[in-house]
Amino acid sequence: MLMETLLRVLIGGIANGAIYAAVAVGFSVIYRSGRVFNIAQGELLMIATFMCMALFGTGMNHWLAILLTAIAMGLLGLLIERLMLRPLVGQSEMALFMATLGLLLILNGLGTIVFGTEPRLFPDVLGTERWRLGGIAIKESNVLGTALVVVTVVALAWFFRSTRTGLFMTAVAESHQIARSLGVSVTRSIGLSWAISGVVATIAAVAFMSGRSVSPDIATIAFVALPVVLLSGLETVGGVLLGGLIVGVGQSMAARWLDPYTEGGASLIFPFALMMVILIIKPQGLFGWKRVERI
Amino acid sequence: MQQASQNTNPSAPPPPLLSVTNVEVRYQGSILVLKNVSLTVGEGEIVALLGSNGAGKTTTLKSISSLIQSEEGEVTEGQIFFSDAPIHNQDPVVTVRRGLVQVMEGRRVLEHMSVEQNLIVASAPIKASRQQLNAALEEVYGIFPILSSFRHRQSGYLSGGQQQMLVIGRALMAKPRLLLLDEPSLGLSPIIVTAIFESIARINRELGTSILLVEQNAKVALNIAHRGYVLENGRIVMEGTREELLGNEDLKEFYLGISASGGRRSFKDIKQYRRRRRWLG
Repeated sequence: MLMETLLRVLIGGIANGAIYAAVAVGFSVIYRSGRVFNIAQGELLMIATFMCMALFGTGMNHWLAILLTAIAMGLLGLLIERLMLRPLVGQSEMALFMATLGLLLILNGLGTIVFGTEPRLFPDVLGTERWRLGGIAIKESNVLGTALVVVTVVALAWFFRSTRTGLFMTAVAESHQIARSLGVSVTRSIGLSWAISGVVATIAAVAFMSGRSVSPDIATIAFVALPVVLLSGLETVGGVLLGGLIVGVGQSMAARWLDPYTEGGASLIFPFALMMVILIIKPQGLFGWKRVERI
Repeated sequence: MQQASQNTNPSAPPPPLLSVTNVEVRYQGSILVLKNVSLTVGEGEIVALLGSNGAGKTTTLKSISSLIQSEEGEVTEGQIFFSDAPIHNQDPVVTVRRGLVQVMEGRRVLEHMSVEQNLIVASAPIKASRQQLNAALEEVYGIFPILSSFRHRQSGYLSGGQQQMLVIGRALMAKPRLLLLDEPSLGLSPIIVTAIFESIARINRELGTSILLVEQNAKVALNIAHRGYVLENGRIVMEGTREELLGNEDLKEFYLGISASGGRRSFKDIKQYRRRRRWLG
């Protein structure tokens, strides 16, 4: 009985952790390239979700619709970088952060205006089957969604470590000045990172929204991804999987065993409490870059 | 002095690879750092740029590579030509693609990346195939064999000497025609400095790379340089071939630490120098 509960908590936690990881990886890809903390990452997820649904509505093939959304989101990322962040090159990190906060408000407002506040059903693109594992039912869409996120994050981690373009972007993450002195175009890397982030938002939307009822306030999910990104470290890509797992499962456990006594508060507070502890003990996160000091 | 050395060539001398002509550099549009600086680096030459702290050596290099832009600096007068094309105040990435690479002061490795990853990043300006990339890596490992044995080590944990070798080797990945080296001896032990300067001479000899070398350590620099300039307070105050500079009394006294009389330096001499320096500066 306990085993079954534990398994259920674990599975629910992993599915939630995957979406946190997917949003977190969008944060870290952008942060690495330009030291910009893009607080509007959740809004990108929301726009990708509704753009997908709008295209589904035209009756086109679902996968074609997703592909088109991914392309459009990549272009949107490029556009945001070009119009909003490039003019701010050389400004303080705080100015850049405030710019993304402005972006959040704009996109949020636009989302409400264009898509309305009514919850709508996102089609089951990842299947509707329920599989049984040790006596409990697992939704096919959750398994496939989680797998999609894991594959995406692993692929990105590989890209940044093993391909030339990825290494250029990692060099930009280390130091703009060194990268420039080696002939690596910093602006190109930053633009590319926004495009990647837009595409990742599309993948996250497909992985998580399938079969759910959605409204523009799904963007708030990004706030739970914030502790994930700080836990795993701002510069890591692959590390967000572990961060997502810890926060997702921890939250799911808090929901099962603590929420009955705290009127649902524990699971809401858990990610942020964890984030504070992490910031005190290991400010750079589990896999973040600690500056090497050598004399 | 410089004219004399060039006139030994009976036919008209070929235009230098790099020519800096009457350059003035300002930071933030007002702080004047370089005044009327002119220098040249010929094909295949090692040229030393000597001077003390704050003389403007690093600014000179950064104005050539255009890296001053990220510090709000700008060439406000004069011209810099590299293989017959103007390169001042342009995108530094374009300068690197043209074949002019600066190795910045202070061993700026990409510290979270491995030795080999550092080298691969530096191949950005050349559109290299996999084989060409491997050949370029092997060339660097041939010059600095120690890098080969540490190729998968995180570069932030290398010793200072190894990091200096890495940043010089890294610059070679772009197949530069001209290398700007900013104080490669900084903070390193004499044995390592000797080894690094031997490698620099070897790069010049075997790869034919021209080198503009900024140094405070005039002795090691003039050991390998063909010619040199002395920069003080943002002006060139002296120039000549290695022999001319090594024979110059003032340079001996104040940069090489050998006094004319061979004895201890007296305060009187320094006072005389101060006067002279005001004159020249």
